[in-house]
Amino acid sequence: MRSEIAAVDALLLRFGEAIDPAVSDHILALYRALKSAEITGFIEIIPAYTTLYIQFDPRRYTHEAVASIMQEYEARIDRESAVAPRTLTIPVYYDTEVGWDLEQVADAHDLGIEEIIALHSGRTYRVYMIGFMPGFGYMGEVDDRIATPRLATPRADIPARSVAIANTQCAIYPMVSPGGWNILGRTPLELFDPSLKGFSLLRPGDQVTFEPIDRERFLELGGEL
Amino acid sequence: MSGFEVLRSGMLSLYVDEGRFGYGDIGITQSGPADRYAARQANRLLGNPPRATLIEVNMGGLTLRATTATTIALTGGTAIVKINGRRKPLWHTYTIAPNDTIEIGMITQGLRIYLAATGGFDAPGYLGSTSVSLRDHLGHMIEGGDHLRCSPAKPFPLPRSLPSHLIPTYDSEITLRYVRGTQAEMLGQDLEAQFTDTPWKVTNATDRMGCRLEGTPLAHTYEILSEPIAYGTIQLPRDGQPIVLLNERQTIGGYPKLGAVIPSDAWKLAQARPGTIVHFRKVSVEEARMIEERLQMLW
Repeated sequence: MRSEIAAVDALLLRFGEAIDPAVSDHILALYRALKSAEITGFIEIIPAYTTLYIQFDPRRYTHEAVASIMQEYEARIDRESAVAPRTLTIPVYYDTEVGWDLEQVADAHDLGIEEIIALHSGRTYRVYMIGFMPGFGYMGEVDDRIATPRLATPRADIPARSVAIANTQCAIYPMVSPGGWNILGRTPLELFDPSLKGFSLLRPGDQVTFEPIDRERFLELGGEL
Repeated sequence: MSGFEVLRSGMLSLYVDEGRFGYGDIGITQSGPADRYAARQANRLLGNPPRATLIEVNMGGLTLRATTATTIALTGGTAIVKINGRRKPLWHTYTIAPNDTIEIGMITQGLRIYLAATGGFDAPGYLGSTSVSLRDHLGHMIEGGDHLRCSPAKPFPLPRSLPSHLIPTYDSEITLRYVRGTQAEMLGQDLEAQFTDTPWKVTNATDRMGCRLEGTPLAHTYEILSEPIAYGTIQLPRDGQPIVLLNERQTIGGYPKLGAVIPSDAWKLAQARPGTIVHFRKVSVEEARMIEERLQMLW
């Protein structure tokens, strides 16, 4: 762990230089421990791929004091059983009707649409971090056999709840947004809403699996076409 | 209903409190008043708590009619402000009677004016804050015909105004102090020296999210993985034109950072009109902490 100055009231802890599930496990365990501890004067705790950001009340702490608290917590999460990540199953209607890039992704890898769906829904993803917009979780890793670069020209309006991939990353767009990710399907679930418990369906560190559903079930669950 | 009726909303008028904190991990920006200094002073003139909801008028053009008796405070940029048709200076409190009209003209110096009412406005809250976030589609943007609710309040026996030495001038040339940030080392001393030695200019791309500057480019080829970003962060995209991130910044960003403008200075940028010349001066963390503490003592 290396601590860097992010601002007069913020510290950035760096745990690695590249995206790495083991590094992320450590960051997310630390994040969960800090969140559940509700430390007075810690204003924001934000995890990312290789970093953990703490904004603190400078009247209470110095950067050095925050860094030493972090070392304590680091030792503690290694010793004690950490707060376990949540597991979520997210239903997805994979079809060219809503998965606008399914065919293109299949063609690019010389696979059938059924294989793309099987490979995408056949593994568990980790939410590395949330950013870009409220509730937008960066998930990984997508199977190398279906990994696809961003579109050359981003779309102006990606529909809300679209499930999409970019290289080995996967995400669900919480709201209509411009974006360049490849759309594979759509979930009927609400991703971000002030009325949701915790406001965001996804939280950093969640373990997510996707369950293919048909059109009828999608509509039953409140999905919008 | 007591409060104010909106006759004209102006370009962009928003409810703000101190901001929305603690949800950065789910991608929520902090929002809050772009010019925290002027917002704080408006509430302070009225004896309101710092978190009381007030109105941020961007560019000007807001006209209100009172439906209650209260006292208001006005702070921020320069504009022709009239109460019942008579010009009034800012950084001052005014007692208001029902049917009084308050007109805020177009802002000619600075970009934002704050209007606070005794006890604060009663605005809808989302995730613990009434601050509007345009980026996150949270909160209520003020429109013509709205009714801005606040409780009736006894008029102040004496008007209050801010001592002149505490009233900022929104100059066409400003200096922003910053602390050195996470990638400054990687970007190198030459580039850092060039950053502080040359003047920068505020472009048209300035809003509540951030402010893009232009000047002699500090081009580089560094790429980083996205990481969380602080208020005031100075990002340097590969085109070498810095972007300083403000209230409605994204929570995570992928450009290298030279540092972060200290909160005591970042508001100056939120009031800087396109064309404003900006100088940067590096300060140590210790010095930055002292400056922040001095500002805290004002409240």
